[in-house]
Amino acid sequence: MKIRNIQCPSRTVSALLIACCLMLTACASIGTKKSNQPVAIDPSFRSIAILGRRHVGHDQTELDYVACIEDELRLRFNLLNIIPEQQFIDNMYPYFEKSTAPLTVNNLSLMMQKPVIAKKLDELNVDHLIWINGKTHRTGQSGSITCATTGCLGYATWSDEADYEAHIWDIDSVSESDSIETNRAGTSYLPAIVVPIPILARVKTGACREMARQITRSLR
Amino acid sequence: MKVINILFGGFVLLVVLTGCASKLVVDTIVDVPDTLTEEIPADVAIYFPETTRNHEYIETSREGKAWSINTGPSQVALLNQVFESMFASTNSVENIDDALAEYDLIIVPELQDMQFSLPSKTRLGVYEVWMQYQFSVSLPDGTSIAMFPVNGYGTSATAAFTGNTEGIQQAANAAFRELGAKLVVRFNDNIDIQKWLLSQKGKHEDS
Repeated sequence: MKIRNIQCPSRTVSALLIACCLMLTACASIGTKKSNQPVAIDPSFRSIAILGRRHVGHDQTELDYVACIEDELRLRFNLLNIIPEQQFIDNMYPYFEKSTAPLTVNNLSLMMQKPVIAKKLDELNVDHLIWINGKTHRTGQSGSITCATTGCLGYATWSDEADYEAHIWDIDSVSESDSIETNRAGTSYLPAIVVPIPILARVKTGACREMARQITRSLR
Repeated sequence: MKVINILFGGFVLLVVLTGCASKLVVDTIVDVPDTLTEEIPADVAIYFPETTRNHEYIETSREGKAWSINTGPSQVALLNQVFESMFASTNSVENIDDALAEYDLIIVPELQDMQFSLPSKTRLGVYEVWMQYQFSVSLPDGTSIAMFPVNGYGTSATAAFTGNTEGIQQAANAAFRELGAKLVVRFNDNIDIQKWLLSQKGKHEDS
């Protein structure tokens, strides 16, 4: 995609001044702080945590996909605490990091032999952990758009494919209670005649809603 | 036009005076959660060698800049935080020969290597930081109990709208976080340390 941009001198000066300020402020900063936030849960309801798989040598499940499922499940369950992913990981530190998280239910079982871990899960009222595995990939793209001060002209298209699976672990029985798969593909179009008009295939959002629907069925 | 020339001159002068264009100084930061771990009933002395305590990564030229990344204070803060949660009591000692007899264990964390990458050079297109440590655990009389390596690797969340300073800080913090996590797990799983802990437990029960 080519974008041509003509700037007037006053803008150039402003940009230079902003750049100067940024450079000056970027030269110093130091500090130490802790990121633990107590998880706000209603103790009368059970809790779940949805976690993306991100261990080394593995596709990193997107943070926004996990957040999307959390939001969808919040709409479907009123009487359930859905612990935000990062808060759960922070509260369980160092046992659910990329390099230390249990990859299998057997690993979790071994981990839960440590009283601090079992106690923390109990405090948080967690009865299910849901691991999300997968990613949305760009499978192809073509076309080009040229923009000038008078407007844009051209056409672009791209295809995405979302492949995700969820593994639901039951904490009480320390076993995998269900596994779910979602696949979705779609092509987006961007014709531009003066103004670009995006016609987007919401592949990731669709896969998120489908996954949330299936998780809801499994948890009920 | 005259005003523009004056402003531009001022900008150039500022850059020259601050030296920011030629040297980037980054002080890393630590933002790592409290550690969830069983407390080991031991009084521990932690000795940070000079090369770790005041560690500064210097590279004279990369992408037209000299780099200076100060990690020493962050390393000390991180490791003190992690060790405090692991043991009944910890004390950071200035000199390894000082009054060590009063402690049960001496731990020496030593940073052996550190590397960083910029978004233009990484496959992921983000800032990356990697550090390699060697931890040595010994008794006050100098008898070694265990020696094990731990590394930490971290990336910035994104490179978009992230300056070099913030990018390096984010990646370093992620590396510190991983280092702390691995340290707790490796320490607790180390067979030689487990043997020592069992022997201590036996001693406490006998007395």
